[in-house]
Amino acid sequence: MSKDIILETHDLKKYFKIKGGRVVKAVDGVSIQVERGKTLGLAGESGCGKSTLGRTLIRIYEPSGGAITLNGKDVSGKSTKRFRQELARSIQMIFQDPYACLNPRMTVSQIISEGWDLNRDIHMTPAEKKERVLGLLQTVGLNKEHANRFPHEFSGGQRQRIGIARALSMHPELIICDEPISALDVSIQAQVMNLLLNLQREQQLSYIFVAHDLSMVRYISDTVAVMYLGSIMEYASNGELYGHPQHPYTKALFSAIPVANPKTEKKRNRIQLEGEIPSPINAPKGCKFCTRCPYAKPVCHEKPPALKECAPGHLVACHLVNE
Amino acid sequence: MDEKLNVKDIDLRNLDDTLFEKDDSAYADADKLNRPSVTYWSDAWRRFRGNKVAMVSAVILVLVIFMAVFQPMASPYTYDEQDLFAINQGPSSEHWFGTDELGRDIFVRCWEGARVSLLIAFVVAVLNGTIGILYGGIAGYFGGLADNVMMRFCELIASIPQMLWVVLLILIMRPGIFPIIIAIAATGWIGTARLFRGQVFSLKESEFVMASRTMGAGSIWIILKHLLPNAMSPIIISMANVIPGAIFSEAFLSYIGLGVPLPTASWGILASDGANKLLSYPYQLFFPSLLICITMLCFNLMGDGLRDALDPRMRQ
Amino acid sequence: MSRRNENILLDVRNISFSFRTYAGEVQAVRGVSFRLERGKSLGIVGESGCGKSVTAKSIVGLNTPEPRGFLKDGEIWFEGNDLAKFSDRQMRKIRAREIRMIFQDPMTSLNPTMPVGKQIMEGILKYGDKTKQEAKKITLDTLAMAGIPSPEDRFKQYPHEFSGGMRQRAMIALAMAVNPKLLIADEPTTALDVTIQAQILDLIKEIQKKYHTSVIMITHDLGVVANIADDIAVMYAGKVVEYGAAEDIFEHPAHPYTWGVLQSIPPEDTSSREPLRPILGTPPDLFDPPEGCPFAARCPYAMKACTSLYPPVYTQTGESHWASCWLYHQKAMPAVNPITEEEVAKHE
Repeated sequence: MSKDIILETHDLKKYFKIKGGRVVKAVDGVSIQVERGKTLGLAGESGCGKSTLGRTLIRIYEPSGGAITLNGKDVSGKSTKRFRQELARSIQMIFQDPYACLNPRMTVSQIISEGWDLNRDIHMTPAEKKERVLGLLQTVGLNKEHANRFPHEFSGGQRQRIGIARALSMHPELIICDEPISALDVSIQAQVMNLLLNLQREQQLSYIFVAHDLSMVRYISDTVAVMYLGSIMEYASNGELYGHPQHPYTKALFSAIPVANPKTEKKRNRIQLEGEIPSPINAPKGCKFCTRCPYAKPVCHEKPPALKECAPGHLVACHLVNE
Repeated sequence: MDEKLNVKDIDLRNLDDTLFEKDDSAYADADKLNRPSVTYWSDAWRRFRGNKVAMVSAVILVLVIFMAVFQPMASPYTYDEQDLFAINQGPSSEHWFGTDELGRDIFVRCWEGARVSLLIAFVVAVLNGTIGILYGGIAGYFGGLADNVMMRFCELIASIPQMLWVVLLILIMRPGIFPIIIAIAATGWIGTARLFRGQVFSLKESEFVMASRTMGAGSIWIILKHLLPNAMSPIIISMANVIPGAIFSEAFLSYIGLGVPLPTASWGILASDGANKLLSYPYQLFFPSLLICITMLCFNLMGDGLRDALDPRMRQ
Repeated sequence: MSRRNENILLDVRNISFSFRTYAGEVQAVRGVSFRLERGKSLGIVGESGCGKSVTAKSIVGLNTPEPRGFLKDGEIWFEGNDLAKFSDRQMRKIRAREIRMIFQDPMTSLNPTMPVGKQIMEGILKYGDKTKQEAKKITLDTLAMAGIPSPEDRFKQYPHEFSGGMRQRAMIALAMAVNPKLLIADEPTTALDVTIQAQILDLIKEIQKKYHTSVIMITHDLGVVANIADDIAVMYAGKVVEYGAAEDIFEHPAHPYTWGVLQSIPPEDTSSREPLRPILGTPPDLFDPPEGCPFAARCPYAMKACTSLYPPVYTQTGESHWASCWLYHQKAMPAVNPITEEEVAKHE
């Protein structure tokens, strides 16, 4: 069964050097695959590296190691301005904070057409630009009177839609959604999620959906990778992961998600995790999760487990499961 | 339930049937924008207008500038015209501010002096702003070693009080209007540079800058299109405060004898002359000082008003 | 002032709170009423801007120094006193001993320049009658209760030496050291990771059980409220639109806004990937709140009455469950409750 893979990473790393010669291993050897027209969800808590991974893929950060292939071609080389402009036509990003992702001094129209304005290879007449901008506004559910307004006149949900229109302006194949709904109210989140799904269906878009809201990740993803301190702990299709989680961290994570149902909530048996997430500067030597895992054995503190298949298409990095 | 009914005395049973017909006209307009379009600047202007103190200061300053430009042209006296029969006279209907020891009309000298002082102050502000933005922008945007070196250089210069630098530079060059401008601006840009660098530093990590990068934007595009427009407000406010500082510096220089050369009048010269005669003819010091004070105060108050008007945190 | 029910700790009656800004009066809270019994918890849910935070802060008088806020109307009955009439000084005492508050950002209550233990001790000694030694012991006990390991060491540390989740616990310790009757939690877990959030919520529940403290939990997260609240008040645009026991609100919600919110959450079974049902539009401008029901502009069931008159309260089947919606008037058009899929029952 051959899958149409649009983006793949092999052992991708992103390390940050900080004062004192120490290193933050934000992304520590991650290998993922994104199928065309499908969504890969990245789930995890703070410090797990999901946002950094997204930003490294789009070259806001340069990778420290490993490879990225886009449509079969290796794109992990040095990013010149030319390279970045080309990459911009394939991969785009939607950001978390709708109040910070739009330049307050630019009109909506200028924001959306920025990609065309700064790219030397794109030549459009002003009339064409205007038409395209209006078309994009309509696609995201806004209308033409919004084109000459400024970001501060819009609500959070509307701003996020402007951000989506901006990303779409480049006709990308893959959009990295970096916590696009965390800053929005619940009723507005649904608006944006529906829009994203419709766009995916209509335009065959692929998504990498990064979020800490696991119920939304579950809703939109086809495959999900659970990350912890820069490494993938578990990776499976949506149904398989939520139905049969194998990794102790995944199980703990799922048991901690609040569910909007009082009867379920009051009856739950929560898996209590000891302590807090260690700092990415002092990640544990063996399995990253060993300091908090209720089942940790000596081997877990020594050797990091490899990501191995425990069921078809279901990968887990855990000594206990892979025995 | 002892909840008060919000529909006060209306008898619920007898409400008209038509009230309960479906009405989703509002629903259709759910996404409309209600308030009229306001740009950042028009909103800031509105707020500034509402600030009475700032508006009054601005009006007074306009008056001062107006007088400085036009009064010497319209005056029956010139600033260096001596009338030895009318020395040291107090304010009168012929000489509104009186005359000095050489019989010169102090009123016209005040406004002539205003030209000089204000010219110096404005040019200093422009120079400060330009050099500051360039220097601070480069340091802030590129960061790292360049930023380190550039900022340490600033600190070196700033470790010596500005007035000392000014005096030193004037002693090296000969006193004159342009040497004074250069001397004051030579170290004054540091404050602006620091301010702008700080702005650039924080803004360059903003999500909208990141978004621009993902579109393929290069450094110059980002600096011009994103950083500069958003970092301007603190600069403008700072300029409004640089001007009174420059006025004061010039006055101080003139006071200690390093100011504009005679016979040019400036507020500092006038104050200096007047101070010598404080006990016998106090009005000769009073009027120039009054003008200096009012102008400086108005610039400062207007600067405060600008800050309130332009500061995005006041929104909402 | 009706029957004095000894079990009612807090009785908020029709409070309205506004802020005077350069652009006019913002009516943040418009006629909110609810009751809280001893030892029970109330969840106040709503989107940003609905007034839930302002309501909570009004109870303890924390709004007034800020941009010219003022309590326009209403009474706040707490242990036989109307807090709305209290002076600043009296309110300070209440805030110190009786009603404590915790926030989303622990650094709003923790002084960064003082060791944590000292801060907690100060809180105990002020207005209280304990000796220093007693206060120290209580501090250590409270730190331990809040789940902070090695309290003796942590006692001397500064807030910045605590990690995120620990700081939250320290803030809870600070609040609980004086054993208040009421704990108000304003979005305490919104900024926390899911696993830490679960720990903190469990801690608050433990506190409630152990000390018989009443809790008001303010949040926008329905999952949190399902976990911790006995009763729920749903707020929208400065008003409480629905109120009832947690089970009633989730299983038999009565107000269209509540329906909208429940429908926009992804379902537990995601295999069908049906589109979520969002609520269109955005909350109204609080400078000029609409005449009738504030939700009318976004409500698919709106009738003419909704835009001109604010609907009265209609009780629902659950005890103390009510909603303000014209759909329950006998003349209203027929409608089906999308959550229960039952016909909306009209009232006489």
